[in-house]
Amino acid sequence: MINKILARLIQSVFVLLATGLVAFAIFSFTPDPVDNLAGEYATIEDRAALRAELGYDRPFLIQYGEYMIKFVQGDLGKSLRTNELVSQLISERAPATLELVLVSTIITLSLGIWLGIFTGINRRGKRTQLILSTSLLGVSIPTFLMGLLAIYYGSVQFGWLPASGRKVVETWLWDSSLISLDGWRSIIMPAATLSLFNVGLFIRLVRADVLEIRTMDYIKFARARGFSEQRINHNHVLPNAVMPVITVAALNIGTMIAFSLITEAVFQWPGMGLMFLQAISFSDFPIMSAYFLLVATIFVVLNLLADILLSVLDPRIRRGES
Amino acid sequence: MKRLLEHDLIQDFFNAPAAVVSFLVLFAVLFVALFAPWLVDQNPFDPLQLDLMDSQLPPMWLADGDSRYVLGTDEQGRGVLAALFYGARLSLLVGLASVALSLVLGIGVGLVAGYFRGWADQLITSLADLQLTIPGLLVALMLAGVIKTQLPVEIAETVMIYVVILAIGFSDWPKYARVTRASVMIESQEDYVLAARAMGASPWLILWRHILPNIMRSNIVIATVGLGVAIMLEATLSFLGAGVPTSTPSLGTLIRSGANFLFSGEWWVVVFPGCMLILTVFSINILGDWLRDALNPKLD
Repeated sequence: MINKILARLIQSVFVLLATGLVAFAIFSFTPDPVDNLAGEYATIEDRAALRAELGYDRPFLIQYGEYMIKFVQGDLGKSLRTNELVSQLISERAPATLELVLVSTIITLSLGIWLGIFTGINRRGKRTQLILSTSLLGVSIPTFLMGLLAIYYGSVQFGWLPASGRKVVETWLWDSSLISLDGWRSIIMPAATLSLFNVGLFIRLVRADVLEIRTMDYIKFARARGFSEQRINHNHVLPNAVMPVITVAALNIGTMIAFSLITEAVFQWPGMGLMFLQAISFSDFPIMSAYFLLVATIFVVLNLLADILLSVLDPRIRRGES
Repeated sequence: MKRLLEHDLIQDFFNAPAAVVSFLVLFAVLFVALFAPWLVDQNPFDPLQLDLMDSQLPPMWLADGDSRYVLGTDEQGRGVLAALFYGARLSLLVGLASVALSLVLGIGVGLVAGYFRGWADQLITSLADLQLTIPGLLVALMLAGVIKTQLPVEIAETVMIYVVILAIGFSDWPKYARVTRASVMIESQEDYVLAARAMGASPWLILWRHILPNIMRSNIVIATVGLGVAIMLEATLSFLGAGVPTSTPSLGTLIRSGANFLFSGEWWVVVFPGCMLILTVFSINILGDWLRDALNPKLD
């Protein structure tokens, strides 16, 4: 098992290096910022000096290597627009995104697993049909549209919840919106919007798992032994149905972090995604690349963790069977 | 055998009212998209046909409504109905083109990986893994950001639609490649492939004539769901301002411009394109669900 994990680890490093190359390659196409920074009256020598100072005159691969080393060290450069440290900007913005994703994940997992198991065990019936059609509708509504609808009804029409922004309470670690009523009022609509698509996805996923497991021989034998349906569901179906969900859930957190930028844009939620979108409109290259690489890193790490977790939890994989 | 399958499939279809209804909805969307110029008087992409005097009119049946604009107008005097029809064109075009791209690409490399194995297989599998760590949304957004600063405005506006198609298409190919690869590995052990090989057929002929038809089922199911996702992704990109340019609005662009006026109560610029979008994707997903059950005899 150790060998397997090591192999996966090496693979992950290669994936990250390649992603970094992609990010860096794309951004080397962005226009030379020297012209803007140097100002109208700069001489050619001034420009060359500035270019050398910024390190734009060296070979591509050297710049790429240096960029990756700095990324690992946490040095993400400075914003071209405001000259602030990108690492500083990201650490300011990260709590907003992470809290949003955390609340969405809780909503997704609790609703998704609960309704998925329910519809899997009660295969037919009115309520199951209703849940399934609603979940299909849920995965058919684009996130931004759901956000707009939530704002229109939740804020404009009925005025229940704030339409945008994030209310926080400062703590010694970070500014949190999870410890005050106002904070919760501001996070509930964005979090619900972000989880909508995933709840639908998870219901279908868990249901498919439950349905498949219920056709397995060990369930038939348990039934033949005269165990009650309740006991079979509880002791035999559920533990096996939740296993695959772990992998998907881990990967899904990565997807949510990336896709939260849509929700952040709609609700003007001051997270990393909104920062990325603003950076795009100002072609702020260090912020764009840092965000991109950061999201890819989170993806890769979560993927790796999910694999390890699964191999620890699943005795078949642990013993080296496929 | 083939005729029998089609027969079954069609019978199945008529026994599923939801599938029939969504097929009709999609047919209607396709119809208005194809024949938009003949169905509405105004071409919403042509600035000369827009009249600012007619901007922000509510739908016809409300007070101040104008019978020329059944569903009202946006802030540039563009009829929402006309924009819906023309917007559906763009949404379907981007959706179908990007799905076709990832389908062809994914099946192509999946066939090679699954049949020839070896280094080609390893390379393709690693590339698929790499692709899956980069969300297509981010790639499209970054490309849009680069192109906007790199190219002159007119060129940037015309290439944007292709960039969106490429970004969505390229982000989705690993799904098809994985399914194809797995099925090819199973199919290539089947008797009919071994027989063809014994007769001296070339690998490409075997892949094209014998294996490809047998692996299309699962790919078609994925492609149906993929079409819905691609249409949603295009709308999302346009909504974020990184999709098709505002002069040729897709459904997402319309919603983007309408969102600014949502607070003042001008709901129609958001609601009608939104409904069109949801209805289209919902119908596609219902059809996809039905297809998956109908083509997969394992269930039930």
